[in-house]
Amino acid sequence: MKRFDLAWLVAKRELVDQMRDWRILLPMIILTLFFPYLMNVAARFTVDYVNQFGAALIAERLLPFLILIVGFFPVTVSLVVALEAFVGEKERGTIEPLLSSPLKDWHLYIGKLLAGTIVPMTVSYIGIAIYMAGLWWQQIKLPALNFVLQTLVLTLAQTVLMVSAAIVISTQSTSVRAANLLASFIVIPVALLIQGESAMMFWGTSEILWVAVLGVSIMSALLIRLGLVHFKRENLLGREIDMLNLGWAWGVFWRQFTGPAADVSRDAQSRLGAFLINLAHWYRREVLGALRQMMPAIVLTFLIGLGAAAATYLYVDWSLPSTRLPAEVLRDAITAIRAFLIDDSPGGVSSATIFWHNLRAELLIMAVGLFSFGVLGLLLYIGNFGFIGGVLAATKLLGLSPAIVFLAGILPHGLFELPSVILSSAGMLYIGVRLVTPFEDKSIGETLLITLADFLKVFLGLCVPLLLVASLVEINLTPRILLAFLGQTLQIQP
Amino acid sequence: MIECEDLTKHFNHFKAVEGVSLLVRPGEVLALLGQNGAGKTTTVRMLTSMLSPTRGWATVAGYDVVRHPAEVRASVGVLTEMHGLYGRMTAHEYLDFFGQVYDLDPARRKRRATQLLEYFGLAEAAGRRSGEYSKGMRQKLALARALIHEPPVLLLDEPTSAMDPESAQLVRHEIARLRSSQRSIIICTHNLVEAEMLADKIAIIYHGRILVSGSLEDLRRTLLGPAEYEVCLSGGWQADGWQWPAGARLLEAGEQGFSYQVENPRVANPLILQQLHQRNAQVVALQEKPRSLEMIYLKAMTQAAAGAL
Repeated sequence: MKRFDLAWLVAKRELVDQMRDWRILLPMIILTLFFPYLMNVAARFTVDYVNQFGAALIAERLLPFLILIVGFFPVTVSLVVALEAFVGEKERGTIEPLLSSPLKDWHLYIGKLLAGTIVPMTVSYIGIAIYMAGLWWQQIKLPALNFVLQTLVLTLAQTVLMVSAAIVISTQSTSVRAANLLASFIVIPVALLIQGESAMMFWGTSEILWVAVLGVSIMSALLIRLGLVHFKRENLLGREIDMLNLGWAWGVFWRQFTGPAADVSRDAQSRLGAFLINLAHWYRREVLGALRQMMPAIVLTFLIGLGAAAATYLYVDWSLPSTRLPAEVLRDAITAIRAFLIDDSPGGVSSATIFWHNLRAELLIMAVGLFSFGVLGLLLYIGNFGFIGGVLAATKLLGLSPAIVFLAGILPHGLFELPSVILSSAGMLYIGVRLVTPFEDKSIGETLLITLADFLKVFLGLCVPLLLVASLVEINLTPRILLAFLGQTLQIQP
Repeated sequence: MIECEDLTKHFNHFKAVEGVSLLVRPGEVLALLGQNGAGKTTTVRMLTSMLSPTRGWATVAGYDVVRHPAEVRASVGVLTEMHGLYGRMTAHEYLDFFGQVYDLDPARRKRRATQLLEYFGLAEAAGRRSGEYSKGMRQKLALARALIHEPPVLLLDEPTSAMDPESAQLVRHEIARLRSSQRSIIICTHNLVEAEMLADKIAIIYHGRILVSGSLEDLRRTLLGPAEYEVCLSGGWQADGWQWPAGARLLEAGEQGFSYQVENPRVANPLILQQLHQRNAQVVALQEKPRSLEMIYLKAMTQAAAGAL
């Protein structure tokens, strides 16, 4: 039986406890009452200021952004409750009676999550209501209902994201001090996220924030899943001190990355020979093995990319069916393409530049993917493939065949570059999925090290060499093939 | 009933508990003795399904600790090393909360909480937050929590620590009452007098290993040898012509009498008295030399440190 009431029992006790602690209550009351007032003053000042220059649009976009800020600050303060949810009880010695009770792991976990979410959520919404009331009181034009709704949902999603991350930290830390130190790993990324969202709001179509809501919600769900999968009573009781054991971490990673060494004693005549035999052995056993492990993620990533490219192609094709570029724009564009194709080193771009550019893109996917269970990495990947679909559809505007542009202009180097991007993006997805899936008796740290080693086998063994080949092809071969196919259309002699 | 065989727990390379085997039947109290860090708490944590054994098995109240953790926890009342109270809750709220955790209906929760608070002398303070309680009061409230659901098995870590003598006696009475109502009880304690008073069985654990276990008498025999007796005489004792019965041997003789060790006192002591009577010795007293649990424990520790156990 699910017995959600037991999770609620845990949450209720915690909530009552929080309401009796003035050290929690006082800052929250101050933030709830004073901060919206401060934002109201800021809003008034900003509206008056930008109106002097007739830039009412800026104020219009800024006001909903301030809602996000009003909602965000109380959450950061009350995050301390979630951060000490488990480790605080452990320090105070109150965790053991709970752990020795018939409560199931998820009762404890969800109970703590609810308790950690409800107070900051309530405080945030009260703060937002006060802020909105202040705008109304000052007769400042209220943001559109759609925007308000988006910011409210986004505040909820961000609160759940931050609290679930804090609970994960709380289950994995050995002291409240350590947990509080790690809080910056939650607050800073979310602050950056809010900056990104603010850019979205200023850029602003009315629906754009729903994408952020979706992304943040997925990450929250994954974090909750991660916490539940790795929540173990034993770990809470067993770990007493934090030890940064770099030797152990390197050992776990290196064993997984290299695998067992090949037996080279009979075959190798020299050190180089031994190295080559080991390398071949590593490719055959480790890289292929990692590829097999990652196969579901690779297939899924490929399908997502295909879907993104197809969707943007159809969207652009459908959006611009009858658009004709003005003759001079068309002429300029064709001249630019001619210059690109005829020039051996267009714009001074070399293979090394292309290689470095593509490598940087993959490293960026890796960096953001690693901190978001692959979600943000996958969004960048979708953007890449979506861009390809959009560009192909747009070539129609130039009177070119998208099929020919794809076959002659993308596929030659794409044969190497696209698999590389797919593999590196799939790698991030693989790490994210493994983190939120029960993995033998491994801790979060071990799981991360093992999956990172798997990913790096594929990245260093395949992605980087593929990018290298792709950059050589893109500079030396693709322009010639494209010229051969499009020369007539563009009135250029190949 | 509590039963475990070869129960072992390793934390990476650290062997916290190694091959512990215990049996505590209903109506029995086992005192688990040992130094700090000897493995008592880890053993208790395995018996409450909080830690999973590296090797071996254990059943508590008929449930396997690995396969049925929820049932094990529902059948056990645990008093932990730290009392584990929520300082901002009143005693009533605290017991009610754990009553709900153990799925007691509201009427039973109220009845049990009232009973326990009254028994432990906390009824008057029941409306006060436990953060304001003295150490002894906190300990009593924690014990009340462990008993709220009337579990068939009790695992009590230092049940009378920080208590005044009256409260400690109250707790000992309660443990004795629980034993007579067929509970299986394990007490982890450093209070050897209390262990001697309460326990039917004693197990001494050292570096994760059970050194010796059994009844107090078994342990006396194993570690200190056969029983020792002291005879006080009004005159001196003459060894000439004295016949020691089989299994008895002289330990010490003096002007006031002598002491001896005997394998089977039921047979040997009457024979010794008979000889004294035949010699017209004036016997003032014949008594067994007291050999406390403390002597047994210290002997065990000394032998273990020397590698003899």
